[in-house]
Amino acid sequence: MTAHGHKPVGPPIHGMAARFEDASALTAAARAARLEGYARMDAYSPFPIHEMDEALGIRRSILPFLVLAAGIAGCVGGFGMQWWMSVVDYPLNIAGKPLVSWPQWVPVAFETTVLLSALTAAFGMFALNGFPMPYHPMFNVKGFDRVTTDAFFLCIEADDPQFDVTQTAKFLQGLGALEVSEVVH
Amino acid sequence: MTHHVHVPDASQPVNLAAPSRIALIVGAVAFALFLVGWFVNPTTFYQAYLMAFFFWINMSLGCLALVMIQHLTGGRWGMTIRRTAEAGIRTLPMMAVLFVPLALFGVHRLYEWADPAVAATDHVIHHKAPWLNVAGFQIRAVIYFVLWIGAGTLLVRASRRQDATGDPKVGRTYARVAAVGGILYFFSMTFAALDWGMSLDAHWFSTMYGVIFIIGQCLGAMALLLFTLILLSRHEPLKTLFRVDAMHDLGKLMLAFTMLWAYVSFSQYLIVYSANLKEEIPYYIRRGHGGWEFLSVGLIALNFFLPFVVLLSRTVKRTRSLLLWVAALVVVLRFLDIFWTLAPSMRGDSMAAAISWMDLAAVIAIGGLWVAMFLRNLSSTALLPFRDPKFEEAIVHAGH
Repeated sequence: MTAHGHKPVGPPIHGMAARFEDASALTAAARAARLEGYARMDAYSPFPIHEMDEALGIRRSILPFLVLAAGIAGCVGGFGMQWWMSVVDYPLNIAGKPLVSWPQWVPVAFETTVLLSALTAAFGMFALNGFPMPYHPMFNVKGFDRVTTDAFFLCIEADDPQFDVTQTAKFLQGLGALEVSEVVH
Repeated sequence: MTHHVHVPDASQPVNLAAPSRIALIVGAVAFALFLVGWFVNPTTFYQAYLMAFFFWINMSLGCLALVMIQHLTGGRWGMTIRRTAEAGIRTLPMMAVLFVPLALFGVHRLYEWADPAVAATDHVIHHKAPWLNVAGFQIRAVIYFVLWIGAGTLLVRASRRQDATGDPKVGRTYARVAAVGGILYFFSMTFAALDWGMSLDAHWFSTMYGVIFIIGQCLGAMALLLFTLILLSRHEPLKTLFRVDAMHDLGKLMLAFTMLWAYVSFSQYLIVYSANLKEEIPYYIRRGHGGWEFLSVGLIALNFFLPFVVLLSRTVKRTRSLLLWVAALVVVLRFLDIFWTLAPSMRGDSMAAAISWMDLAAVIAIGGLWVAMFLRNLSSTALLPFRDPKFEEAIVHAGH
């Protein structure tokens, strides 16, 4: 699938992947690529690497704010639902208490807050990660199945303005990659 | 990882003699002033004494609870706070001595059940007399302190052995003492809260009462330890070894205890509010009138909503100067909770009439002694368990 030594023709590719020896080599390569001016890239490793977010220049996720908004919505919604039920839809005199006995609504409002926050955290994480994603071009890279055990990959993506098949491949080679290959779609 | 990390020597104690001496002087002066209060009004004096005592022993016992929790659950956060918390545990013998005036003299001025005339005529109190009597109060206090000091001493002694020898078997001692001690602490603290606090309203009862104290202790101790560690991290070895990630974890735990405190406090309220029984509801009716309602709302706003909202922020939890203030606020506001819980039961329906200068004097008096002892204890050992088998992994290489 890769063309040796000469510029390939055919469909535009996903990017250029390089395999590295270990986590620190991968982190160093990501840092170097960023210094070189590359912005669109991703790293693949068998385990989370602590400094990788910073090395790749990944900005903090907006997920916490989505969760906060969902939590507030759940809280207001939980209170609102109970207010509507107890005051508008089906007012009942219970133990002579006022219809708006809000302390009794707190447990349900708390639960709806947690429910909406948790669902937003889980599904928001999936959505922001682009899931469901049954297919990814990186699966075409030779030996990529080892990424779940002992292989470390950096892929500079083809839509990076600075991407050039020959130059990028040479650059990755220069970073001490064990193997560099084009990633086809 | 291959790159070299400079690690300061964590095995040497830090000299805190100067701040300890300042605390002692402040405490002694405040104590002298506070003792004048006894001549003004002995009842108010013992009420103030009880609240200040509760505030500070909550810190000692919170340290004990946190250390036992972390021995059972593990985790890097425990490694960071262990030695500091143990310095807090080692204030317990002093607190036992400070309890003596309450057990011998204060008991007659604070608790209506201690008056034989009331116990003879009041039907409910007469019924509770097998538990609520002066001799029982004193004997049980001895049992509580023996249990707490016993568990604390075993844990501290194990740590000494670890610092001296690095014996890996210390971990098993920790786990055993924490498992048994944790259960005993939970029961003994529940009964201590009943004896010392809840019985101020001898007719009233709540099964949540002890739990609220236990969670409050964990919250207060967590905030105090965080405050101490952030201050100590201005210098080595904690400047390097108290990492932002560890502080972030402790900040999260402080947030969790803030929520848990609100949860148990509200649970008690909801149950009493829903049942609306004449034996139970006066507790909250009193705290909803006569000025106490402002303290009640203030307590919810300042002890729950304010720290909750602020601690949601990741930036706050990861910025030393900001988290220092939040921790200080949580520590100070623990007294608001104690005052709200105890003062209305002791001093009646009007909040304005229930505030005394002695309350502040007592907190500073006992506090000065507590802080002096705490800092002295802290100077006597290394600030981190540098020979713990997981120390390297959890502290030195964390974040690398």
